[in-house]
Amino acid sequence: MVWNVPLDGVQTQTDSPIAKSSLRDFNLSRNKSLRILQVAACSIDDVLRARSPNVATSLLTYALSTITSPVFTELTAIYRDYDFRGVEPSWPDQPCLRERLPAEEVEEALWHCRLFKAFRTIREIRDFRLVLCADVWHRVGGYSVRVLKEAVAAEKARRGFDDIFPEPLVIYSPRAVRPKGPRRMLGWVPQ
Amino acid sequence: MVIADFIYDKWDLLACSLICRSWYTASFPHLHHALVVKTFSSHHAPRLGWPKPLQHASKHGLLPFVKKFRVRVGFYDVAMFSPRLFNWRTLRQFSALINVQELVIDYLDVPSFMPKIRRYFGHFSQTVRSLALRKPKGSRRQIIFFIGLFEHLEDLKLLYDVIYPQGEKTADNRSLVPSFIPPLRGRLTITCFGKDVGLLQDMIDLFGGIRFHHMDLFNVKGTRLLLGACAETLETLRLCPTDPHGLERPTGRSTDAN
Repeated sequence: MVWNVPLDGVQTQTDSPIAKSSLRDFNLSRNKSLRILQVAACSIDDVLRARSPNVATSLLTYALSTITSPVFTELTAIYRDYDFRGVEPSWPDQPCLRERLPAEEVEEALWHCRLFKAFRTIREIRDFRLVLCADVWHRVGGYSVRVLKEAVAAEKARRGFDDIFPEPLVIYSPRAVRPKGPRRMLGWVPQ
Repeated sequence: MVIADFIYDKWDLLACSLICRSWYTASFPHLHHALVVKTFSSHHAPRLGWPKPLQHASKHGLLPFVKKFRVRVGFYDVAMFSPRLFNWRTLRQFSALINVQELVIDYLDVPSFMPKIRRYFGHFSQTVRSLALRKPKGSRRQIIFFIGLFEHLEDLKLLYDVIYPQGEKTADNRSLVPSFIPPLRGRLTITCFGKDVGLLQDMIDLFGGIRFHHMDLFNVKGTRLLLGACAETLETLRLCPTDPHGLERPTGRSTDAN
C-alpha cells in the first residue's frame, strides 16, 4: 500500500478507501474545547525520512488543519522509554540505563534534529506551543529529561529556534513504578 | 513532604518506613496502595498466584487500604477471571476491598458472572473511579452492563480485539439495563485491534452520551464516533497513528509490557 498523501495539504490522493476514511476520522473541527493535541514522537519520526510522508504525519497535519477550537494552544510530543537510546528494557523490572555508543549518540542527535525540522514544518499549518513530554518510568526520568534538554540546547546552538518556532518546553510525566523481582510482581506485602 | 518524593519507588518507600513511626505512618498508605494478583499459580512462585496475595493481605488486615486492584493473567497461561476462581472465603476477602478506586481486570469473563454479578462487584460500585478492561469476554450489552455497575466511574480504559455479538439480540441481553449512568468525564483510553465500533456506539446510546475530557486513541475506526460524542468536552487528545488503523508503532525496543 502506498501512502501518497501530501504533507502540507488536506486533500488525499490515495487509492486506499481506508486512508480516506482515516483522514476524515481525524476531523477536529467540532471539538471546540480542544486545548492540547498529544502525539507519540516516534510516529512523527518519518516526516523527513521518506520523500512521501507516511500516514501518521498526514493524519497529524490533517488533524491540525481542521482544529477550530479557540483555546487550542499546545502540541505535546510524547517520548517513551524506547525513544531513548540509553534506556535498556529489562522486563519485568523497570528499564535501566546503559552507556550509549558514540554511533548511537550521533544517531539520537540526528533523530532529534529531524523531529525539530518536522515540528517546524507542521507548525506552518497551525500555530502552537511545542511541549516535549518524557512519559517514562521513574528510574529513567532524570536521564530522559536531560537528553531532551540537551537536544533542545543543541538545536538552540544551531539557531533552530526563532520567533516563528520558539524553544519548546520540556516536561516529565512519571509512570507508576514497575514491580521489581518475583516477590513484587504479585501481591506485595512488606516483611 | 519527604515521603512524597519516593512514592514512585517502593524500595525507597520501604526504607523510609523503617526510619521511625511517623515516617512509617506517612509511607503506609503508599506501600499498600496497589495489590496485583494473577489468575494462575506459577510453578516458580506458587504462593503468589490467585488467591494467595488476597489471603495474605487479608490476614494482615491490609485490604481496606488497597486503592488500586489489578487482576492479571500470565504470559502463557491465559485464565479468564470467572466465578470459578472464588469460593466463600475468597469472595469474602474480595469483598473486603472496599476502598478500591482503580480497578484493572484482564480477561474478565462477564457472562460467567451473570446474573449475580453485583454479588461479586457490588462493593466496588461507589468507590471505583477508574476501570480498565483488557480483552473482556462477553456481548456488548454485558460489557456495558458491567461498566454501568460503577456509579462514579470517571476513567475508562478498554483494550479488545473483537466483541463477539452472540446473543446480542436475546431477551436476556435486552433486559440488561446498566444500574448506573456513570459520569465518564475523565480519560478514555481505547486500544482496539478490530474494526467493530458497535461497543462504543452502544455505550454512547445506553449511557446517553459520554463526556470525556481526555482521550487516548489507538483505534482509527472509532475515532470519528468518539470525537463526535465528546465534541463539547474534549480538551486533550492523544494520538498514536502510525498505520491506517491507528495502531501503535511496533518497535523492537518497546519496554512497556504493561
